[in-house]
Amino acid sequence: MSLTRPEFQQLYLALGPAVRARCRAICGNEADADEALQETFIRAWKARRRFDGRHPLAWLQTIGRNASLDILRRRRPWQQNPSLWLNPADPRPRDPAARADAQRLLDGFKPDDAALLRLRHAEGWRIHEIAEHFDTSPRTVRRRLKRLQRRAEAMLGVEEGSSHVS
Amino acid sequence: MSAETGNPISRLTLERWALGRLDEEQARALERAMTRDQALRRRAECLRQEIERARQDLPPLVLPQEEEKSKGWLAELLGPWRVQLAFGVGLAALALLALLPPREIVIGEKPSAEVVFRGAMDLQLHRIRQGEISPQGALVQAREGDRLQYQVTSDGQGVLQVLNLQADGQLLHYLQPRALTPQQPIQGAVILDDYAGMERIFFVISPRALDREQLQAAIQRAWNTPLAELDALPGLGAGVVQRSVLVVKEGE
Repeated sequence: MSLTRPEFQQLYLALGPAVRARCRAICGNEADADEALQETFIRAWKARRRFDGRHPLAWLQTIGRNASLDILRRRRPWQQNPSLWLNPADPRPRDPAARADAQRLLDGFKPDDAALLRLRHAEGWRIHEIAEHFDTSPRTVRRRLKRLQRRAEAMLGVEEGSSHVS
Repeated sequence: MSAETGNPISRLTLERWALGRLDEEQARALERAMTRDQALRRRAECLRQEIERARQDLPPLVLPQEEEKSKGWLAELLGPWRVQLAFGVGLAALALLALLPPREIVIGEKPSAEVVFRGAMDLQLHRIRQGEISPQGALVQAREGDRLQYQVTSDGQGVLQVLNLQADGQLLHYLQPRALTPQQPIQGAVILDDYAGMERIFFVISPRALDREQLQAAIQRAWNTPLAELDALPGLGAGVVQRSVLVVKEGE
């Protein structure tokens, strides 16, 4: 499908907000989300001739997911404020020990694990939504979350079942 | 219709609803479902608000200009009928070249990819689990902590990269680009992590190192191909030789 520049700009105006909302959910801040949004549409523009024209939103969201994860890999934004990464609804300053715990916990995770935790705990996404987003099964998401939870418990030295990652 | 069980509505469907891109029948069905399920209604409304917030100050899209600039330059220089004429002359020249014996065609000093590699890559793969070594084929049944040891030999020069593609689209470099000389094997090993599910390891020999953009583009081209069927990363260009193995890891 060969979209002209004005048609592609129209596509951006129509679908860009939905892509931007997802990029915000993964990246956790506006600046990174907007960079991911631009990167998404530039990649899509370069690949437009290979796109068959069906399901443009799904196509863009997949590119957006990869662009956002690339940014997480480069920037590791949770290092700036690990508590906010997992619980943006609670902006109270953490004591140094809790902050160090959160830092230690997230440092041990791969960026897509950090994204998974963020979508589940900070953004409140359902299991099936996360599965759809990562193109995997709900069962796999549950297992990954369970594994991350166990690892978090081991890292933070708490007894199983007495704490939650968020 | 429950959010976590039963027949969940996908996020993509809700996004399409929020953008007004569901057809009438689908939209009506979704709205009927929302009247029965208040949690679904809240989720949809919340998503609609997020999208509206994202629409408020949507930054302008800046697209690269190079491609159109070069077209504009050519058109300006030659004019439209001259472009067609130049294209016709080019085609005629290509037809003439096709009639010549291949050995007489020399284009610079760039070697033909077929001559460099002759499609030959020897890959040997072993799985080491608790000291036990077993040779592996195209499908590897693995567990966390297994060590996969590989040896790649080629009969030509090139650059070897070993890449891992997970089912969630994440691409990792197991071996950064390394120069390969004829009949000199490169050996390496990876210890598998606890990622459960399928992943594919690609052994790629190319005339020069593939950059991040080329690899990302290949993944985007392959995004709707199941990992189990993705024998090779598509569109990496001529002269690239690939082998891959599918690693299936058991969960906990």
